Amino acid sequence: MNNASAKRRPSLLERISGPKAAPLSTLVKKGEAAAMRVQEGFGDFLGQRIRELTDARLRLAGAPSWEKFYAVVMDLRGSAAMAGRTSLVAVCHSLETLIKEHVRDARSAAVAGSHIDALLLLSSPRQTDDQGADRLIGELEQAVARLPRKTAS
Amino acid sequence: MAAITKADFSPLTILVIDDSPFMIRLLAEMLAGFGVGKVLTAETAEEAFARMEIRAPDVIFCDWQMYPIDGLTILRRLRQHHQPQLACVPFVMVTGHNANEDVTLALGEGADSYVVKPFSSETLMNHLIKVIVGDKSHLMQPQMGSPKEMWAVE
Repeated sequence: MNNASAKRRPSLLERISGPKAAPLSTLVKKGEAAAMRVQEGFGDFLGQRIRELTDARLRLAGAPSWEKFYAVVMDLRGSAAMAGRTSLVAVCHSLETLIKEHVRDARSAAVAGSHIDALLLLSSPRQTDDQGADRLIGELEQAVARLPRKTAS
Repeated sequence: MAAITKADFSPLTILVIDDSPFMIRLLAEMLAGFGVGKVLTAETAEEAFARMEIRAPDVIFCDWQMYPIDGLTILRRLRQHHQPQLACVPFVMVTGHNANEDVTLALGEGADSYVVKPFSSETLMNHLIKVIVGDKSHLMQPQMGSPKEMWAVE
């Protein structure tokens, strides 16, 4: 095949540089507005995820359940961060520490359950004030710290 | 190179891979807000590769922490894909982790950029522009016999 006769594929930069190009600042504002519309629906998503955690909490004896549980926690943490819900992020972070660094047994499952209760409390419209949330998160972190740590393999 | 101040993303197809319904909608809506012509979404690795086989995306945004197949595994599979056009698609890893070793690992495996949650619309735009400017996929020659259009090697 003669390359000289073949059509050159345009680069991505060339493809976005058409005559209809708009200022990036305008496009960023449109992206922001879209994000705000989606964030308004965070409550529905949160309720669904907490229900999944509550269901998973009943099955924490087996390793596969912990893995699924961890995946939901990670999703909730990232999504809550995007929605600006810092107290929920902190609870998820404490749960993540529990799952990653501590022995997974009945005691840790109970502490995980306390985290889910905290998520429920902090997600309700009548959620506790900032000081109350900080105190609650501090207590959860202390409960996690008291759990036996995994031994290095 | 002069800084990019204007863009028309309408010719682009972007694939968002995330198992979180909230994050997938958030990213898809933000990209649509930027004017991206087609935003494809996939919640699993299998769905993502099935979509890519039908229509090769121009850019991929993929969450790292997915279950059971995570974003790093998807990235590794993509970079070893038999279709060169897919193997070199610009890839942005989206994650809640910002540890140096995580960034190094993702970039070492072939990610073109790495965005940490939470991120703003401006940050998302910066990463999109970064991978577009750095894109070399148009230099790749597709596999012989591919049903897709043939492109010359520059």
